[in-house]
Amino acid sequence: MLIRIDPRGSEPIYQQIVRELRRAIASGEVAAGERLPAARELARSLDVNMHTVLRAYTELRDAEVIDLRRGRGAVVLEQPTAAPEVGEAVAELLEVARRHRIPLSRIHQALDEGAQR
Amino acid sequence: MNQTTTHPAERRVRRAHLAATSTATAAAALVLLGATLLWAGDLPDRLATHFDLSGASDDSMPRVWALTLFGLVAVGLPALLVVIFAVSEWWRGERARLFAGFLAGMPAGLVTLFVAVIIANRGAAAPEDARLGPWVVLLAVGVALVTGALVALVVPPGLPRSVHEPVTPVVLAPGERASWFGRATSSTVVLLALGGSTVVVAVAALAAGTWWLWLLVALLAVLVAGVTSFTVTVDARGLTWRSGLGVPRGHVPLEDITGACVVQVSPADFGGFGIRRVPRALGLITRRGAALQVEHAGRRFVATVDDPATGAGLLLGLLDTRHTAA
Repeated sequence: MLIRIDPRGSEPIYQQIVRELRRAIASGEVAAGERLPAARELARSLDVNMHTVLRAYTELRDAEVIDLRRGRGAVVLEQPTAAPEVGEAVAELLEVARRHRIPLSRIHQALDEGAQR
Repeated sequence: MNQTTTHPAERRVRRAHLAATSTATAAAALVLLGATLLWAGDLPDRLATHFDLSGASDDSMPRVWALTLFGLVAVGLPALLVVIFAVSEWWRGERARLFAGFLAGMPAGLVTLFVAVIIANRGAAAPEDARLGPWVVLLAVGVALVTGALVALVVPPGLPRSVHEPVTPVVLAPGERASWFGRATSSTVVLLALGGSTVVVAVAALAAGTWWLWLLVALLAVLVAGVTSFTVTVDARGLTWRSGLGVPRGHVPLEDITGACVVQVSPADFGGFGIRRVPRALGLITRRGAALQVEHAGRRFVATVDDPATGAGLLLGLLDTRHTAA
C-alpha cells in the first residue's frame, strides 16, 4: 500500500491521506478484512502529526470504509460493489466499441471528455 | 514465478532431488515395516517407549498404538515435509543440496531410533524388562547425518534463481512524502500443514509420554511462529520491518541503502521459512516467488512481501530524491 502526500499542496493533509487510502482500498492494495497501519505508525512514517492521521481514519470510519476500534486498529470493511446498471452499461459500451473497432484509449478519452462536460 | 519448468536440465535436477529424497523416505519406511513384521510376534502387549538415562524403561504404551505412532512420526512426518518443500521447490537456490540431505536424513534417523526401540522390546515378557541405552540417540543422529550427507553429495547442485526484475522508480516531487506498507504472509496451505503437523506430534507426545517428542513439538511450534506474517515499511527513514507479533523487528536507515530490486526467491535459498539469517543476508521468507531485495553496506535484506515492485520503486525514488537534495 503506497501513500503519497504533499504537505505544500492546498488540500489539507488529512484529506490527502483519506484520498490515498480510498485509492489503495479501491485498487485492492489493501483487501477487506486487512488492517491499516496503526495511526501512530503511519504518522511517524509520513512525518505528520498523529491527530492528522486519526482525523483521516475517523473520516473513513464515518464513511463506513473502515472499522475503527480501540485495541483492534483500523480494519478495512467490505466495500459495496457498484450498482449493477454500471456493469451492464460498461458491457454495452465495450460491445459497441468492439463492433465499430474503436480502440480502448478512445473510449477512455470519450469518458473523460463526457465527465468534464 | 508462474513459469513452468520445461527446460530438460531443470526437469533433471528436480527429478534427481525428488527421487533421492523419496527413495530415502521409502527405504526408511521399508526398514521400519520389515522390523515390525519380523519381530511383531516377539513383542510384549505393551511396548516400552521411554527409557531413562541408565537404559531402564520407565514408560510404556499398547503395542498397536506404539507401532502406529512410530510409522506416523518416522515416515508420515518426513513424507509430509517432502511434499511441503516440494511445493516450494527446494531444488532451486544455493542450499538445495542441504535441503535434500535434511529431508533424506530425517526419516533415516527416526527409523533407526524406532527400530532400536523395537529390538529392545523383542523377547521381553513385560515392558519393564526392555533396556535401551541413551547411546541410541547418538546412533540415530549419526545415521541421519551419514544418510543426509550421502544424499546431499549425490543430488545435483540447485538451479540458479532467475535474475533481478526491472523496477520503475516512484518519482517524488520536491517536498512530497511517501510511505509504503507491505505484508509478507504465509499461504494457508503452508500454515495448515505446519500447524497440523505440530498438533499431530503434540498429541503423539501426550499419548506416548516420550520426552524427545516434546523437542520436536517445540521445534515445530517455533517454526510455525516464525513464518506467520511480517510488515515491511519503506519511507524517508529507510526500511523498517517487524513480525506479526511486534518483535522481532529491524530497521535499515536510508543512508545505508545502496540499492533495491525485485528478485525471485525460494525458501531453499534461506534454509526454510521465517526469519532466516544466511551469510551477508537476512530473509523474511513466507513463500516462494517475487520478493523485495534491499542492498545495504554489502548486505542484503530480502522479504517476500506482496507487490515488492512498488516497495523497491519507492526506495529507488527516495534514493534519487536524496541524491538530488545533496
